[in-house]
Amino acid sequence: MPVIPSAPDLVGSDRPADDGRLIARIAKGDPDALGELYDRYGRVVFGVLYRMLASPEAAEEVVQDAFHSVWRQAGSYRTERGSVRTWLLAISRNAAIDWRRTKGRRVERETAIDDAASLTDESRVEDQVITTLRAERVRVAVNGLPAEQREVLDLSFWSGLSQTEIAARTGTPLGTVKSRVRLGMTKLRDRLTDESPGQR
Amino acid sequence: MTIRNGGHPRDELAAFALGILEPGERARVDAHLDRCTSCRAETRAYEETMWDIAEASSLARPPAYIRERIVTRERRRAAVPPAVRRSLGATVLDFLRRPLPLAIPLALAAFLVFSAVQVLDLRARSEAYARALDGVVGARVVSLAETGEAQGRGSLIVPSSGDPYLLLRLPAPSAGRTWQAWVLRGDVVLPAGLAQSRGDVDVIRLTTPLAAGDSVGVTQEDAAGAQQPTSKLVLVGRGG
Repeated sequence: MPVIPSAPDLVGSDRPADDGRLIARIAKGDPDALGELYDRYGRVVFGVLYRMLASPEAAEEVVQDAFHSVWRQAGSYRTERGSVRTWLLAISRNAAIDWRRTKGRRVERETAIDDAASLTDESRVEDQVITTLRAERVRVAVNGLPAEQREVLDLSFWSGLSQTEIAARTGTPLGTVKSRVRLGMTKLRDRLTDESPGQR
Repeated sequence: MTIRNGGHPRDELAAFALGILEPGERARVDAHLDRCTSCRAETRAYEETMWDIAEASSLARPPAYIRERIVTRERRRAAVPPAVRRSLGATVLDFLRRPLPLAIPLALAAFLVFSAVQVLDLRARSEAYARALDGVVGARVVSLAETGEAQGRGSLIVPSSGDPYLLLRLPAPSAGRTWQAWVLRGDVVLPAGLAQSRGDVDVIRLTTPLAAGDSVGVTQEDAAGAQQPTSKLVLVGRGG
């Protein structure tokens, strides 16, 4: 797949106030605002979908579905319930889970590892450095979790399995799965918050 | 759902943020969040943690045309005046309110039965295709893109030793027709084999070797095959 530079790289931007204004414009039917929202978060969303679906074609289809959902649901977005970007992330992950359940049935190995590497970002060096530092911080936090907590978070975040499904797949009691999810997420939240004061 | 800490579902908030609660639990937590500021703040912190993970894991970069498609789609929709949209809706409602001749529900019932059969067949083919892909070991698997001419999926399998082949999940071709593979080399199109049915999937062993830069495609042709494509490509992908 050709790597075509897209919109300006704004990964990692923290601009909740601006985001709220964008959503208000989208709710009024402004397509340019949707484009601006995509410029800010489209890359992260696409990256998540690519990893969840393991297929560039599927990720392309679902990212469009997700932004169409944003277009339709913008009027129902409520600031007090969370930031725009986490709302968008939830919409996108749900779209991926729906896609897999209706069309995917399983994650197909449609892209070799070397093909995936060809999609890797080629953005500006300073952006890469920032992104790499953030990624390293998260990687250290995730790797610091006990293996069983990492496993349930992987299955929930990337595979979209419910706690019941995780219990069935891993042969672990449901109560234990719930406990691991809670402990793992709490540790990640605390570590990432402690190490990045003022990030949010 | 576990309710502790003075009625706050603290144990469920991480799972709520991850979207992995069962529907009933989710609805109860959702209702609680509507009225509880502290639980909302805690949930929000979990959601931001998820964003951090997402951002840190996003290596792939979307092609530029995705943005254009997203914006263009909604711009076209926004260009339709609301009044027109309303009148279309009203037209549909008026149509639905008209008394129906008996033949229409009968035809609808027949259509639904036919559709159900089609869906079951499609599901069986999808599962067979997935099982066949599962069985591929020690090979490079490249997905083929749909062109929109037919619903289906396909993959090019390039084993570490042996001939490459296509694994297809396509609708049954018309009577007297079959699926044919092509190697696309610049402006030259080379015939590359006919489909052989393996139950609910089709396999085409490529009779033309792949070279660097080649693409592969699939069309529907006469059962005996063709020297040049006579119909539009239904699947296409990079081969070499």
